Amino acid sequence: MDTRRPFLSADELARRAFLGTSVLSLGSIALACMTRRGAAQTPTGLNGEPLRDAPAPAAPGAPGAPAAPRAAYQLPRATAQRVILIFAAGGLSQLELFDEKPLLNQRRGEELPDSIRRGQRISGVTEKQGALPVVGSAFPFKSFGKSGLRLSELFREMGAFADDLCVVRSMQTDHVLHEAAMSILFSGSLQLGRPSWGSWISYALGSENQDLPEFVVMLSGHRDGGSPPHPRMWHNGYLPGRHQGCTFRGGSEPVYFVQNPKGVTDPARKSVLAKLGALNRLEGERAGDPEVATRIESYELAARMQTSVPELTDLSKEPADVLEQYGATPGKESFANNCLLARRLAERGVRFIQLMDGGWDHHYNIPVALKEKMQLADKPIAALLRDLKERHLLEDTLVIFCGEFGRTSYCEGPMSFASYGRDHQQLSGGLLLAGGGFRGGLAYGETDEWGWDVVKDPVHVHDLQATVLHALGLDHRQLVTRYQGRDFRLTDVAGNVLTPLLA
Amino acid sequence: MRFPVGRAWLAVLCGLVGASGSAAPAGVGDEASVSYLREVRPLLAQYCFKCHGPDEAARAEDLRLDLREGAFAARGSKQVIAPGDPARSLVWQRLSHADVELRMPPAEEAKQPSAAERATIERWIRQGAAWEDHWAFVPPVAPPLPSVRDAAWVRDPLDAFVRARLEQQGLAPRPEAGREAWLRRASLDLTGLPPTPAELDEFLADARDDAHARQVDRLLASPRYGERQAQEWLDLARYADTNGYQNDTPRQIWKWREWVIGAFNRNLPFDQFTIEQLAGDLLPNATLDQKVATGFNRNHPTNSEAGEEEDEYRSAYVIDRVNTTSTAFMGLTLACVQCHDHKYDPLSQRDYYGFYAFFNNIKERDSDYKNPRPSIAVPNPDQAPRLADLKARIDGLKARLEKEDPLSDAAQSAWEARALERLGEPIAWTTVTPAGMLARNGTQLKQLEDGSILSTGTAAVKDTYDFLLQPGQRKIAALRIEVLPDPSAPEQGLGRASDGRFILTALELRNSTFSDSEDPPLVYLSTAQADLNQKVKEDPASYDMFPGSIESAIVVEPVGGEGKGRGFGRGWSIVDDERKRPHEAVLVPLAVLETNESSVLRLALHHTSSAKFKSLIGRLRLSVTDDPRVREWLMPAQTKLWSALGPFPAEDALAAYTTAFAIEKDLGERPLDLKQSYAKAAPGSAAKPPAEKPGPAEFVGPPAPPELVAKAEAAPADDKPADKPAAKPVEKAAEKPAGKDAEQPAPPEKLTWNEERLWRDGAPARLKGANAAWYVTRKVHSTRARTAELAVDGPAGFKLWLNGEPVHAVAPEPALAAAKKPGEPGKKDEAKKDEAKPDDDEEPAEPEKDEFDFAAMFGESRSKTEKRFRIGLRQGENELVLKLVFAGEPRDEARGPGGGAEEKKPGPRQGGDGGSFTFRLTAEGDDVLTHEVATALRREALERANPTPSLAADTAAAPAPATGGQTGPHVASARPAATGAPAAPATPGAQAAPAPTEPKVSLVGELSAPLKSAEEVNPLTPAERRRKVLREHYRTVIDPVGRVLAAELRALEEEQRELERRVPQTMVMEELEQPRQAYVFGRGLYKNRGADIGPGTPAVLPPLDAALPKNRLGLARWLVSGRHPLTARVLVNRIWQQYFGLGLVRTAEDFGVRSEPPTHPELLDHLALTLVESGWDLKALHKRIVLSATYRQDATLTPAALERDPENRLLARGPRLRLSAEMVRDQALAVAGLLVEKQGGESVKPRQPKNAWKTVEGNTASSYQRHKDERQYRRSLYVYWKRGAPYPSLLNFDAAKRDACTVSRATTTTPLQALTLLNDPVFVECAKMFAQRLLKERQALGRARDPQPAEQDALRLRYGFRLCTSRAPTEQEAQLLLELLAEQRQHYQADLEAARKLLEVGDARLDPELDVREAAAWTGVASALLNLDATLHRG
Repeated sequence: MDTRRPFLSADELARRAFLGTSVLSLGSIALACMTRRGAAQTPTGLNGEPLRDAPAPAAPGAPGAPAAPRAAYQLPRATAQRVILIFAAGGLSQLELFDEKPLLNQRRGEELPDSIRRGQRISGVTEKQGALPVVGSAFPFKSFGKSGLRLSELFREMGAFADDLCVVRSMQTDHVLHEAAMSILFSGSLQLGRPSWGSWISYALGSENQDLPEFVVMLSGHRDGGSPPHPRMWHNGYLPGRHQGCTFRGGSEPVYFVQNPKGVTDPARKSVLAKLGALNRLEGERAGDPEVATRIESYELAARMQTSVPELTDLSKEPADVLEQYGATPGKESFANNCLLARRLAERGVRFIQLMDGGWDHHYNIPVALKEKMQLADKPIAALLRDLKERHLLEDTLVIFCGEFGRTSYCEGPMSFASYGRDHQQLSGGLLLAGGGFRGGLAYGETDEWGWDVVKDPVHVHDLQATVLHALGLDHRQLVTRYQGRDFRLTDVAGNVLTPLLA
Repeated sequence: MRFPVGRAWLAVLCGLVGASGSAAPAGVGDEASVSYLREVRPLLAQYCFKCHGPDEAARAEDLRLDLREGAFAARGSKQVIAPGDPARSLVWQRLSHADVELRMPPAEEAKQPSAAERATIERWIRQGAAWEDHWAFVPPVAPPLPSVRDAAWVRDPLDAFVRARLEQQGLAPRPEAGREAWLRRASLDLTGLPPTPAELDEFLADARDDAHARQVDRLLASPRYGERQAQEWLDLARYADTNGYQNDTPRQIWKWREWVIGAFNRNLPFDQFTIEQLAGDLLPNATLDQKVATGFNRNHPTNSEAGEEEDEYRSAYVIDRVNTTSTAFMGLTLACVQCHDHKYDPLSQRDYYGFYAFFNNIKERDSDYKNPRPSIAVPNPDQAPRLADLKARIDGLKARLEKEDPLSDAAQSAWEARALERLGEPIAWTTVTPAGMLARNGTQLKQLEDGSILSTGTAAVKDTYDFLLQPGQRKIAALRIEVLPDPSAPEQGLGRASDGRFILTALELRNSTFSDSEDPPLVYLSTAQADLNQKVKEDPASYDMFPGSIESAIVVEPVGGEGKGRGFGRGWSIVDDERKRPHEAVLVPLAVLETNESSVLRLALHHTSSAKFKSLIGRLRLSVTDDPRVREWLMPAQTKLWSALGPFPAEDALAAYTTAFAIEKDLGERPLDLKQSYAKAAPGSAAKPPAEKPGPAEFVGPPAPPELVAKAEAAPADDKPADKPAAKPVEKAAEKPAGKDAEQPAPPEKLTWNEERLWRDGAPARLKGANAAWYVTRKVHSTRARTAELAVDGPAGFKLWLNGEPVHAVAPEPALAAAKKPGEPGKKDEAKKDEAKPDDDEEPAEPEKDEFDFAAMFGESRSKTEKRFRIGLRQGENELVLKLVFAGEPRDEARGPGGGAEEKKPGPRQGGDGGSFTFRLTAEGDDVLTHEVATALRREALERANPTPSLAADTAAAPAPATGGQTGPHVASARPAATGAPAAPATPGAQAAPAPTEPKVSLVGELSAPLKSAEEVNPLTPAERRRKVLREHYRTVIDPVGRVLAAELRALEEEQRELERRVPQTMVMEELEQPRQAYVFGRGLYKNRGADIGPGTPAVLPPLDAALPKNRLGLARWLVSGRHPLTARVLVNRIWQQYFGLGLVRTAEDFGVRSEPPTHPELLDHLALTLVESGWDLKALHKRIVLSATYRQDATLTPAALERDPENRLLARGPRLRLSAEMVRDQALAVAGLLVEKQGGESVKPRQPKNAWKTVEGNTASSYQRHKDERQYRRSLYVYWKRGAPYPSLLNFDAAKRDACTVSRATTTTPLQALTLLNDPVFVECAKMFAQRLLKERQALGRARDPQPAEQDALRLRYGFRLCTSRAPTEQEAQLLLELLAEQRQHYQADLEAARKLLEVGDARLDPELDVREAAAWTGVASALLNLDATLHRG
């Protein structure tokens, strides 16, 4: 049987589209992980109603997008088509990475002055500690690239892309705890249950590829400390289920149950699927329910996924030098593999690729632990940037490397010349952006000389979100969905587009 | 997907269906009349209310359009809205203004009304601006039953409302569904499981008039009914088995789930159901059951992230309760009002925080390793009586041991005199000033003139003090560490933590006298005792407060770096007021240390507690003595190091126990020669060829050549090749697989005695070798003839020889001793198979760990398997020999890599590679002393001799400044102000003001008190404490009767603890005595405290009856008073949704002004009112719906119906709905004959993909250990719900995630569902067993007699189809199935290996008589049946 032949006629599909999503639903074409969007389908609000003034999911500037009127949330121009968000779970130590503070080295061991701290909230952990001695970076900073961007020596390979990097040194968030800060970063709100960043983008832009999910999440290394990732960081909240991030796991089964059971050969499975399709068709005729057609289609898609997903995640066909550049090993679960996979997904037009990397919560022993961590991260990210650049993908792919907050200027735990740690810091932090229309070689924002608080050009998480949406051609104030009688958006009730960050 | 509807739906509804007849006012002319509620108010809400609505802060121009008064107010010559006259209405003027500057909404607003929308408003005003209050806030009034033309159709009054509407729209209902379809629908809707073929047949044959009703009664009486209804309720209540936030740790609240199921089954009226869940604890004489019910509002996620601010998360929990309660019972989304007055609904922030105040008084605390509090124990029926019995007996014994007893007191005085005399002169201690000292993390140490050492400078968070001592030529019988209070320390305490405490987590003493090594050997300390032993808290969860003994700080293995692994907080500490007084600890080495001029002793004091930072000793002094008496006092029966010999393998544990290995011949010859070596094998074992005698894997190997070994009676065989040295007792988990070693031929092995320097009494020692015996021996030196109590734990059996004589033996239990050999059929084989499939994509099944065994985690509880008995020691040296026998547990229970954590856990453990052995020896006799008792005796005597009160000594510490003092020989009794001076009498005046002993850490203030022991709240004076210590010692250790009673008490208390640990816990609500003040939080942030606010209900709703208490109980009664406009409506709407997919109000979670109006408003009110009238009888309501003509309709869709009413809002047909996630799995299990039905109980862990938990686990989470027994086949309602990684297959079918209250689940159709049903091993296993059922069950063949094979196939397929879909297949369908069967047969006939592999999936085993190929073919067909769309629906 030709599993690709849709059961429904085009007319019927169109009619279903007209009827809108609901119980019968195109919403139930809703293929959480893989979805196909007919051109006739309009992006819908939660209720299944077409979004106000949002006739077509025309990704701005997307090649081949039908000429359709823009949705209210769509801007005339988009510089980015997709995002690769590399999340360093635990909180990046900006003082060792992005924000050079010689004073902290000079005043090492001295108590953070009250005039600087100004009673700002610190976490309960170091509050108990009593003393707050400042400590400088164990890693010297250097100038990189033509722009002379100052970054620490830990950017061994990424430094070569300094002129593509947009460094924010004035990141601020609303909370000093992992759970809360991650919640703000990923959903714009402390309240649980809101849609995540990737879900919003999947919802607004749809897919460039009919056979892959719009939003993919990959995890690595969360057993070595820090706050573990929670599905709420890629969950669809009250957006339709298909916008939930689809997690790809390492190993032989990247998506749960994607492999045939043992003892079921492809021909045996084909025979089951063929008869199942025929039986379901009869049921569709009997019950008159168009929903049955959706189910038949979902089985066809499932069968395709069983080959396409393992193919996509099989790195063994990548050339050896590419594998070497990333430090990737086919078949293994690693951050390097995920970076390479991110490129493969970006190539195939996945909108939002979220890499969750654990182990960045460096309360102790930064000189050793952060160095080790950066050795594992720097090379694959640099390889990813190189790869994207060579394939001209960096032009419209935005790469973000960030944590949920920064780390304190003062030391947490034992301090010696060989070892010190830093606690969570919500007032200041740093991150990197590259590609997708962001300005390269730029350092944005400034903190005081103790590296404690932002003194110039603060960037709130909502500003970052607004700016990224802007680059994707989306107006963060207009991209809303109504739930329980209220319109919600990613940036809650705040957020400013930071045009200086954009080229 | 089900989602709230918006305007688009309205358009559809209006267009297809027309406006509701009842709510709309009469039209003007032939223009359709405009409904305020349906059409106008949503527009005003969208475009105007933001600035002219309920939100006071945002209101502009003092204009309020959401209230009638504001909307029709006069403004100068005009009116805001002038009915009938748009031109005179300010609203319309501004909406239509030509000047963009003046037009509303302002141009900068993103949302602008369309021309059509503006026109609607104009038309409404022109038509007279009829005002309606929001329907949901107006209490329902009984609507008259509409008359319908086809009255015969009406089976229940509810049908009249539906039919009237259909007639209005010119629609006819579908005919009644066939009986099979109806019974399938009703069975799944009421019980969550499909009808069986037998049930279908019975119903089909039932010609009685009330056949349907009989079926409904049967279904409602089934316990499955409660499970099905509970499923819906768990979503609302956001039930889960984990805490949700960081690390997502486990919790116990399944007792609440059990309560919910039970409540539905006994048809607890909904008003009572509500009251008990919201406020069961506040009911007069609340029963345990009613308290359990309050778990409803404890199901929210909780955070235990370090560094949280208590108030912050606490307020988040209160907010969760408010939102859940208002959504579940009132369909109101109060969440918006959290931050500001509602933009659309007439709800203010005051309303919100008034509601908040009801839920703000819970005694909660979350930074806890156990259940978040409050939590109560709910004993199982078998536990309760034993607990009561234990309590009575314990209370009785305690009373006896504590009662006033002049006779005992007199005897005690006599003993005190004797003991004092024996103590004699005080020990002379010589202060040692360190030759070098350093704190590793930068704290400064300073030598003071009195020989003490002061810790100064900035205190490191954690630090280790290193001291180099050069004691010179001397004998050291004991060392002493004095800890001294210092004015420079916080609270003038002993330590540098903020509350003046110290915690010594580890102590290492090394001696380089005979070693020039960098890392000289540790000195084995036989005992260490402090002058004060404060009781370890019963509740180790409050870990940052409990003191431990100095003994707990002694390390036998070198501590690395920063004392890793010991940072959890255990260690020597002194709490309460005593932390301001000097104390001391005495360390006694195994043997007297003899030092010389070149000797260096290194002492390391680790302070690495994570519980309290900077808990460093503030000031200390070190001294030594050569006086051996201290050793005798403290160790009347002094034990020496153990030596161990083994393992001696045997057939099984019993053989190991009974076989007298060569060594036993030597036992009579004393003393034992520890240099002797022994053959490993049992006597005579060489006789059998090894092949006939399979032993555990470890011992399988080539037979060793016979060899005669000195004193061995027989030649060895079957030796375990060298795993040298044989005894590595403290083995870590990372051992080489034994099999590997076994492959290499090795010389036969002789076993020799090994001295075990790492074994300490009371701590488990690991011994290798399953089904094997070990011999261990040690010397015990007793100061006189005495009895001693021995406690042995761990081995399956043991024998004890004392001085060469056998004195005690415990044989292994037969269960442990036998049937543990490999090669046997059954479990073991499967286990081996599992082992052979390392790539099996599932979690390994592991022996279950008790997630809540905190006592064991802290090493506080003794095992109940411990065996205790007495022996008589003679004066001088005694020799103990123990033979320990370990059983061999099958390897399939072996731990995965995660098992390492368990290594620390004491108690008996039988592993494939041996076991553990724990030993304690407690000397008895009237000369038994502890350092604490000895100190108390001396001080007591001093006080009696010199009764001058001295405040300085014992009360509020006012230690001398750390100057002066003396160095050199230092006599304890002469110490000023420390131990020597007499104490003050315990007069109230002399007592120090009770100091705040605990700092305000991040605990909830109110809770600190109940968590402390009585002693901490009212600290004893030192004199009181001394007398208590002496009396307790006398009565429980010295007095021969008391000793026995005390031993019994200890045993009972241990049993009680053990039992209590097993008693299920459940989280509940508990009200604070003093309500916590609630505030309006500005912008919803807990830190922005605004006005004080008390409990109150939203102003727009009827007021709280004055007679009701202003607490949760009052609130609950208010909700179910019957006069509340929302409660019953919201409830019946949700139940309606259960049956028809959508509620009468589509936005089941929101009944506010932006909700969708009901499709059948009068029906909604009718149902709500009749429910209340029935006494909130839910079963009656379910019965009405299921028996109604509306529900009975056929569900077939026609193109016309689809066009006309795609969502079936008008109910012109029966509902065709997809099964819920739980139903999909339960149905598959039922069809396969695997379903295990048992009500209630703990959550179950069926098979799930490997590592599904791994990625979301923090360091403290445990990995998934699936249940291999029948629990894996229980209903999905009981599947363990981990918020961070919910059960994947259920999630793929849209199960709610349970982070927050969920009213309606989405219904999606995704390829993931297809993959789950086709490939998830759980469903494959179902298909396999389903196939077996089809092949074996006689019923499959129906009534046919000896049908031909072809006919048999058809009958079986028909049976299978009917099991899945509750109907017979059509001819076409039957034909397709036959074809599929033929194809599958063809596949598996050709591929036996594939057939075998397929049938290996899952734990359930097929009948071996079945033909493998045939079973596999049928499995393929069964899988297709389980995947049918008809199987996944009830239509």
